[in-house]
Amino acid sequence: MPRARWTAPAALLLGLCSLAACSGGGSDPEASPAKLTTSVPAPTKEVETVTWNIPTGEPPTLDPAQSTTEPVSTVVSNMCEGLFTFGHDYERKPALATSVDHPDPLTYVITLREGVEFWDGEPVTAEDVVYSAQRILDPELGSALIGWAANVKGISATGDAEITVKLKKPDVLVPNYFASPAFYVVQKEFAEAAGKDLGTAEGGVMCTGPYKFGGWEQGQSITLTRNDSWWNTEVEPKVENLTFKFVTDPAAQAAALAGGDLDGQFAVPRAAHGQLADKGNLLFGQSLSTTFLGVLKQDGALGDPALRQALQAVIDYQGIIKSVYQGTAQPLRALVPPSAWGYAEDVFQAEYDRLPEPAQDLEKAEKLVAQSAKAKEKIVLAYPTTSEEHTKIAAAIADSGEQAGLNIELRPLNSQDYGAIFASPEARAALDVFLVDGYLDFPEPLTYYVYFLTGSFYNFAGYSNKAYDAAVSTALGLEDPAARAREVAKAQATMAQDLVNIPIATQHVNVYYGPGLAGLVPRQNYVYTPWAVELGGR
Amino acid sequence: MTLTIPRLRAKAARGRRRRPLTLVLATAFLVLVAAMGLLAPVLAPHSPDETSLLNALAPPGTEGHWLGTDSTGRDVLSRVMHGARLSLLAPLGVVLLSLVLGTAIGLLAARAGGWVDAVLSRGMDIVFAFPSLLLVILSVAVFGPGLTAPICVLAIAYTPFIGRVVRSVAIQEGARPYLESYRVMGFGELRVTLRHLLPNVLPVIIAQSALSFGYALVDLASLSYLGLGVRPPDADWGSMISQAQSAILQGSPWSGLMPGIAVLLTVVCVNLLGEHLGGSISGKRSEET
Repeated sequence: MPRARWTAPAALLLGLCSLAACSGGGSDPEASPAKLTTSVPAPTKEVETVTWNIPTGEPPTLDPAQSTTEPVSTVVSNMCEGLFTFGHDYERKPALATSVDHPDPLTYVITLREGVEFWDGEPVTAEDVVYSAQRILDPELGSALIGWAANVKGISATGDAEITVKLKKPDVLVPNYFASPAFYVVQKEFAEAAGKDLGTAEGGVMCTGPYKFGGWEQGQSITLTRNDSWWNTEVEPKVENLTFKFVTDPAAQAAALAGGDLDGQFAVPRAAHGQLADKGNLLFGQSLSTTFLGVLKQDGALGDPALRQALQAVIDYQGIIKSVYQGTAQPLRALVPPSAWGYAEDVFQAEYDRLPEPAQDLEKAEKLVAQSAKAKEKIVLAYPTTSEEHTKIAAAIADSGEQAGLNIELRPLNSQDYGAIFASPEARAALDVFLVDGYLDFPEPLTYYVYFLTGSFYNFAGYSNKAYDAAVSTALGLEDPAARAREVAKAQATMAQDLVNIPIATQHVNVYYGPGLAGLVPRQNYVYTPWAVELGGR
Repeated sequence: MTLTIPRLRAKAARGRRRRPLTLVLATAFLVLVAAMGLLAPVLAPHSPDETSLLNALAPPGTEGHWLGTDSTGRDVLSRVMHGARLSLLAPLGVVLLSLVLGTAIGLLAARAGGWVDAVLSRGMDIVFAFPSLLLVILSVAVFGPGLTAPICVLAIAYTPFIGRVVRSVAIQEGARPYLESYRVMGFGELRVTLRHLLPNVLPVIIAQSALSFGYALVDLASLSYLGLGVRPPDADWGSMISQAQSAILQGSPWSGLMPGIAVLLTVVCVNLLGEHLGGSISGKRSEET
């Protein structure tokens, strides 16, 4: 035993030395802001197989109704389609539907595309569409997509190629969901036959998209094959087979991508950027993401607004952007990033500019803490250990907070415990605040602000402000973009003042693919659109 | 009546042999590390938790940071110094606990004999069969992160290492006439065991404990490396190595290399010391028999 034990530290040291020798160049915490890519040369060659990595791990299912998390969506978005899809600038484009009419504020009539077939050659019917949409609304299915239908009265087939969505009250968010997984269409007959096996390795799935479910070797890979009968003849996918792998370790990802064992992946770990930048295509794009501190309860220290302001004042925004995100992010003044202003940008911009510029101010924080009667109370800050960025941000906040007199205790959580925060009040009970990475489904700030209405499921802190509720509720009923933007901006200003969520930064989305590939531009909407059709050889 | 009792710590042999240079160096290094940990609050140039994101991953030799900084701009030297405290104290706790348990079990098994010896020996065999790191990870799963449960579980896992050695030596010593003489003089079994047998077993225990210290240090560093040991932002060498993984990818290995070297050298030195103690004791025992 003793000899064997001696080898452990020696191997550790040798490993460190060899890794150090392999890693190239020095770090650059003063990295300049990343260039955002909006277009790349189109692919020119067919590729037989692309091996793509899902850095967040193996998806638990490929059921389109559960396509709300990154690992599921990265795969499903290439197989299943909604009634509409998002274009490069998040504009709604026809997909399985050709048009939508809005005869009155409570009705949407959707005309379906004719001649579309599932992979097995069976035609897509209005019955399939209604079945798919209603399936998601079944609480027993446990789909997180159910939330879109809070104001929906009913969905029905009103013709061979027509469905109608009726609302209980006006809701301007609804048309956006026609282009989301909430309206991904599965074959009714196949889904009913598969039952609970739909989306599993055994059950598979039956959709209409550019790639067919090829197979799933659990723990190893998922394979998709090109659907040569895809209805969209305007686009010619150049990749014949897509194989998804599930390498989660950042060092292993970097090695596999650099060595060519993996052809590409989204969300490349920042630590690997330097290593991969010269190997192939490491591209950055505008995202709809938001990283913020979410207050979880108001009966603790953070019930005092002065301490919430102090917590915001200790955040080293400049350091986080330059060092943690290496220039691939921007500091945020409001919860929703400017990239998510999908309309009336001038209105949003004017109101955004009025919000205070985010900057660390330890002196201000110290004064605020000194005034607070709850200054001595502990603030438990939770963050996921799976995120290198969150780990660094949390450590920096805890240290700065201590300097300002805040009593911050860090609570690192594994992915399971962190995930429980969103689902279980018990999991949140011992926590005061948590670091969150979120993203909007489409560029409509309201989609995020509705989460913090009084009584909303995701309003964990029990935040309640009549002015905020009134602004959001009014905005939901306003069709006019400028008028809606003004109401949203009111809600934004109220939240910025109340600070139940403390915005930190919006990160760029990134993608890496090898030198032999071309065509893919990184966009947030890769989770909802068939991104693989853009990819091909060069 | 005068009894001549053979003591393993024979004074006559002491000082005659020159100690090997490696042993002197190992001892000096361990004293240095212990002093560094003890005096860290005074000697460390920075607070171990003091971050400076804009000064992250500064290389060794940077002004004010002799060993550079980690990925959140914390001073590596200060964290290595402060990390020495937990990295040494936790294995020390393991060793002390296992020493007490192992000695008690070993002596009881040796002196009682019969079915008591059989039960205790088989019990130690069972504990011995479990990989210590696996037990520690299980304890964290049950009791949550932190060092208390791992220290207790590791102490139990290491008890057979000491218990078996103690039992073996105590059985050999038990056959010697001096113990019987004490009994003839009317001393009780407990007094004979604790006052006269234990001192002769003690050097073996100390040698085994030194070796166990090294193993415990590696186990606890591994636990921290897995993120199951100390809570952030506290520093210990294992967690420092773990946190340095992304820095290594970025071409900045020093924040992991320094605690790695500290673990390596400490374990090597402790093992050298333990093996020397063990070797000299067995040598003396051979001379006496």
